[in-house]
Amino acid sequence: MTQKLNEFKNYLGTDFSEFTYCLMVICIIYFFIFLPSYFLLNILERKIIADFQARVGPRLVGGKGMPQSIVDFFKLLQKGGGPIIKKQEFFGFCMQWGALFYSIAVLPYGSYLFLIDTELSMFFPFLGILIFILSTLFLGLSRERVKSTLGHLKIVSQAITGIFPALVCILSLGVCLDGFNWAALIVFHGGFFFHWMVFTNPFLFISFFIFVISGLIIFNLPPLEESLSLLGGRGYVSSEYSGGQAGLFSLMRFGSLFLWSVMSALLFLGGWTLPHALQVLLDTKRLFLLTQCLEVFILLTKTFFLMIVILVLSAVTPRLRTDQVTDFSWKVLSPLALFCLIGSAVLRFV
Amino acid sequence: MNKDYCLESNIVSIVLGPFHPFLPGPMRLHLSLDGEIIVSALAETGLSHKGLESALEKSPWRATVPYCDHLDPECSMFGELAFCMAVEAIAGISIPPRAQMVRLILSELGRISSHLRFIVLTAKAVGSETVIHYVLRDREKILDLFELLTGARFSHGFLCFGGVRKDITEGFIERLNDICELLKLRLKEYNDLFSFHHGFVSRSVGVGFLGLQQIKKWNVSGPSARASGLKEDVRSNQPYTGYETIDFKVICNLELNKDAGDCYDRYLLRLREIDQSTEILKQASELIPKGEILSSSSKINFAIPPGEAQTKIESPRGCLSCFVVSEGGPTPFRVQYQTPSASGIMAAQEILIGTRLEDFPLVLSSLDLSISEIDK
Repeated sequence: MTQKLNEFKNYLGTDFSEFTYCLMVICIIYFFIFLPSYFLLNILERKIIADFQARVGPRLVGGKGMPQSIVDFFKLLQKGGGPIIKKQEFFGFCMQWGALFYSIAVLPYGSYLFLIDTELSMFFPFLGILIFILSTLFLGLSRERVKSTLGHLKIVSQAITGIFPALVCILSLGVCLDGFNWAALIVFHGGFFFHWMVFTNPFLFISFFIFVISGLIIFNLPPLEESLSLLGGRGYVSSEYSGGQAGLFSLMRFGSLFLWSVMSALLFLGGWTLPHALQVLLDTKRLFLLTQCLEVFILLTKTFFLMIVILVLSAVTPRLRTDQVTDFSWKVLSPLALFCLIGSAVLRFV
Repeated sequence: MNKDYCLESNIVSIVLGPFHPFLPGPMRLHLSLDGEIIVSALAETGLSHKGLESALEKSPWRATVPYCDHLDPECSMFGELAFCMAVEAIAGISIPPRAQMVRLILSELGRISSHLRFIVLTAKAVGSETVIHYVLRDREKILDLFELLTGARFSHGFLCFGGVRKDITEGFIERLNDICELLKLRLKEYNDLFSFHHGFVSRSVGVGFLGLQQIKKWNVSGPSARASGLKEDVRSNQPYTGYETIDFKVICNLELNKDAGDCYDRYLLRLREIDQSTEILKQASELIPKGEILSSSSKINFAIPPGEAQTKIESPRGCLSCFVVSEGGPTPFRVQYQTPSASGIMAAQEILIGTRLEDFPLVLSSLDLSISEIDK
């Protein structure tokens, strides 16, 4: 961090503290990466899915409906009394949003756009995820309606089943990298796709799919969300939320999918790594800003591609029952993840 | 579910409705849950009671047919047909062959439209969004045909005592055949996208089992009964309005194993019925004779003589019967419909016991109930 901070200071020609640097990075992550991604992906999703559902999709606002997601979000925020949360739910919501923001913030988005890199960096987002799940439990218990509480509890039980295979996949990666820090991962990745972790060995290839599916289970994302969504705290058609709360809920749902897709892209799909020749050229010319922009662009392209594939699949896939999802996670994903861990270890050390 | 490994829990009561996306219409469903399992279900209907039969009894004979559309707006043709046939039986009015074929064509188109809506509701119950749009797109073509012939997409008001109001327009038969061919292709598309999808199969197989005993207890009829192995079809047993000239077989799930009659069987049977209806329509389009569309005895100021009659027809949801009593007056003395959904809702309360809460939308949608038919 100190080295990067010094390089950044030299580039800007000014002096500032680490705290200011972290604040800057966080602002860039949320206001220039997260929020624009939400609006862009929202409209892309609606347009793409409308296209293969033989519909036009949003088309009223601006040029062919492109700003529709921005308008809808702000419209929702002011409807139904705005995003006012009841006192009982306040603690749960704060925990949820805090956990989500934390998990997003601890991920690296570029060679200078990350805050933490320790020996166990890859596990840091999981701390936020566990708090996120716990907050869902608190939120469910704070609801005054029985069916809403039951729905929240069902989501929590489903989420817990997804944690284990995801962690085992991280272990498989760590076995290949000899560590769980981002630096080791970035060094390992190459610019071209055949240098990505996912193509390193067949066990990591399988682990990638297990990891992605586990994320959908953990965050109750389509197509593995709770099928009777009206009874849950998170749903897609008949959510209990309306107005401002629905807008925030939609943002949170995107945030979950974004978090997991960024993690998948970082861990398995090469992250932000540029082709070596290009990297050398940019370093030689000291094109700092261009480098950062390219890195973020590449990472977001991979992330968006993964998110769109997931959303397209969710549009054509029927929903499973919660018990079927948890059975699948315990009986299929977890043993497969363990098998991949053992296979990766054998390949690495034999 | 093995109770030994379950945590003890109290019974929880929830009430769904009267407006709920997974209920078939305005109704309340009182469920008692033991964890995730439904231990009792009670349906409270009557919220959309229109007083249809009473309105029919107060209307002049000529004005009654448009009221019959409102028995079930989704399949309005069948309400009209049952009533007209009962009145024609009382008055001894014979229907010209051409009019019979037109009625048959409209009936089968209504059946296809209703079954397509059934597919939409089933897909909605399991959360498969794309197939909903595909099916509704194809259903629009059926509704366009209705509009071409009758002037209306849903409440046609097209039948009259002794025949139909208007003749088939030029190009109608050709469009009908085109749509039949298109539907055959679309059925394959639905199968690829949805019917044989592992997710849907795992959700629907073994869920919502309706046995023969329950069918006989609650007098369930139609595709729901045929999916459980009961080979009964009014079109075949007591042919009416030209069905005696059509060659078709009653589709029935004859695999009488212990799992026959689940949601998946009911879904597949309706798909097969759509295919069968396209075949019937093709035959009807070839067999439709030239001639009158209205009986000569059906004059403008004719009177319905005293008498009573009950007719049965095969609506998309089952056996629909209409009982009409005339005392020779300007209005019917008594009109009563016995609808298949009324039996279905009773059976639904029994089927829901023992199912998971997440499965109740699928079970209810698989029975293809119409609250409008129940409440009348």
